[in-house]
Amino acid sequence: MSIQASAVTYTKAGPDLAKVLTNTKFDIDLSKIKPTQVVVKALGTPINPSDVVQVLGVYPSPPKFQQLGNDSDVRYAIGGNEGVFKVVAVGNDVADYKVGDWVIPKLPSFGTWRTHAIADATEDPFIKVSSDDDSAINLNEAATISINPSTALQLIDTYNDWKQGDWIIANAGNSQVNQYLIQIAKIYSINTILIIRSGKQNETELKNELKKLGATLVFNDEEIKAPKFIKELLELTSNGNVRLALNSVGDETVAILIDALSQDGTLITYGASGGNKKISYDSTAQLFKNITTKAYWLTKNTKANPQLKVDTINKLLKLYQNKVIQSPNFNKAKFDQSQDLAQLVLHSISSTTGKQVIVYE
Amino acid sequence: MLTSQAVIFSKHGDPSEVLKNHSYEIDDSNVESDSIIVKTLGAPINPSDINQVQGVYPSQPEKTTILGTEEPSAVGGNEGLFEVLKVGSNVKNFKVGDWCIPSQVNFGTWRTHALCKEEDMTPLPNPEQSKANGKPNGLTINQGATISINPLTAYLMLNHYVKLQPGKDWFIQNGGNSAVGKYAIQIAKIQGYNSLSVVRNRDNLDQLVKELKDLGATQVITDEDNNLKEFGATVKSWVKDTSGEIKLALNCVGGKSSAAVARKLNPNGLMLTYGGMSKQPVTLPTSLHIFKNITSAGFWVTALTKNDFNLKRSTLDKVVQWYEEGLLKDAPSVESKFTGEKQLNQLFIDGIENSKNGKQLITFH
Repeated sequence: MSIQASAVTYTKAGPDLAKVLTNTKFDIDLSKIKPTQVVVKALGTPINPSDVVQVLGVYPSPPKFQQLGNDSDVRYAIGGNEGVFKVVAVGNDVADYKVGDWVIPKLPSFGTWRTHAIADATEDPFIKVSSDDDSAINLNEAATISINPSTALQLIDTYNDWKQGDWIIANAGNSQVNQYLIQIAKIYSINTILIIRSGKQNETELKNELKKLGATLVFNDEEIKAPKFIKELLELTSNGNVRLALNSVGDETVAILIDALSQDGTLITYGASGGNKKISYDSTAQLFKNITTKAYWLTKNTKANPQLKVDTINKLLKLYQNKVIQSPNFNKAKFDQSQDLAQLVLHSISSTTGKQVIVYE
Repeated sequence: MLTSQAVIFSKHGDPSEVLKNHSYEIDDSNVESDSIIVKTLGAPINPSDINQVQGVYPSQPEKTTILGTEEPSAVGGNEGLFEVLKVGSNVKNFKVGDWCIPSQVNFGTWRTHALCKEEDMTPLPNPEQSKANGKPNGLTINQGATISINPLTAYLMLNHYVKLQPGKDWFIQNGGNSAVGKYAIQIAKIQGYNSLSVVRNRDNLDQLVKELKDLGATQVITDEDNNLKEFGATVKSWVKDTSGEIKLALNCVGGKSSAAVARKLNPNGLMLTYGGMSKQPVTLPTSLHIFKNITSAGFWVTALTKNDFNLKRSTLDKVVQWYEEGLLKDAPSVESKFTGEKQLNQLFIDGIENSKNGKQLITFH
């Protein structure tokens, strides 16, 4: 029996996505599966900004070139780094995975924009997150567990000695990562201060939504520029310990994040949305308050220590199962066999309305 | 009775208005058993001392009436070299004639004499003691009086955070011509580290480069070169020649210069900011953080040594040894002697005014 599969492939990264990305069809002959091989079928694969930058060729984590199907020598880069797959066939020697398991790739650059994949079980390629039998977590949760909630949890894990009532301040307040961060911080009894962009029509509504998720204080980026803001913040936090500032924007809010930090605090930069290439802050604030600024990058951590990622996913699974966190809304694009997967991905990339996930029939 | 004079302030503001002269008596016939009386040999004027008087510095001395002032007051100054005049009966670490410096900041060094506890002072060898120990040089008053901030800052930044491999690794610094910058160049040379110092371009650049190279600088570049992207290749080739890495950047300037020195760091490198001379914010390309894993931290010698006296003592010992062996040159100060002709507070007020022409040291010997 043979499976007709397709993947969104490229051979060379470049700026014109429509030319770079190709829909490549391939066959998986199940009778030729090797004893250690696992065949998986995609259930849901998101499109993240970092996936797009990888295809553009300006992301420092390169794609992996790999063969498709079981009888081709041609190697392709495949787009996508995140997604959940279901095991549909296993070789005779495979003990760790069984048909019906839901798995996510353990390492970045698996190439998730594809209907099917063959992997070698001896390489320990997957983390099991759910199954047809136990439905431990649902499709929405499983498809998006790998990046944003993992980032949020690992950012909080910067410190392992959080005290009840400590504070985190973050810009890009309503980002996907921050929506998880708010929820997880609340479980740890950590207070959160979120900075959102000003000028949004639905600002009041958005502030209320974030507070409903568990945010302690929400401000827009004009409110925090007021000269009295830091003084007011000291009152609002009752001189609390603002230990961690999280920056994924890089604009002028960074200097205020530094001002808001308490003695010995840390500013972590983990993104630069909006194309901001630099961060700037007052040097005396850094040296007198002993502020450290550094980076966080999930991809690098996972490559350096894959077990850390496994531990993170397992912690998140518990949080989902205990119903103490929920995944934010995202847009689904349905794929069926009659469609061209590359076109669907390109269409989703061009969409500007929040996170996109391809869901496979 | 011993008449002492001190330069005090009871409120913050313009030093020429708030610094007052205060005369008081020290009973030198009844020194408590754990106390010592010291005489000041020299006390410098540091920018942080001035900021303290102005009230714009986060570390502040406590204001008290212990010296018999009407209003609670503090004595100015944090650094200084003293000579022991009298010791109490139980004092173990000092005898008359010994040299010492304050163990902690906020001692108040702008005064002719002080009565204090033994532990308030930390001994340094005086020249006779160095000679008796077979050392080629004894400390000068300037070396002793200025030892606790700039040389300690340079040494601790080079050694406390990152392990540089002698003969191989590099550090980069802007402010290469500053006092700390020159100490860093020399200490790196002594320890075998390579240095890359950025200085402002100027008419007599060749002379300055020669001066820094004579101190032991490996490479000296201008801030134009530092800001030039293409110049990165030259720096890389220097570093390749020593099979090392640029693991550490020292920033006291900020702005563009901080971004340019950080850019030259190898992956996982550290930038320490210990000042902001340009008055511009520290600037860092985000990509350096995220993709090269560069860390940026603050360095403030006061905070670091306040809770770790052993670290201060062991660092002082190293610096003293290098001075005694003639391996380290001190940054010169402009010296003004207190003769009594001018009031002591006026001498310091004038010194603050003259600080723009170089570091001022008031001597009392």
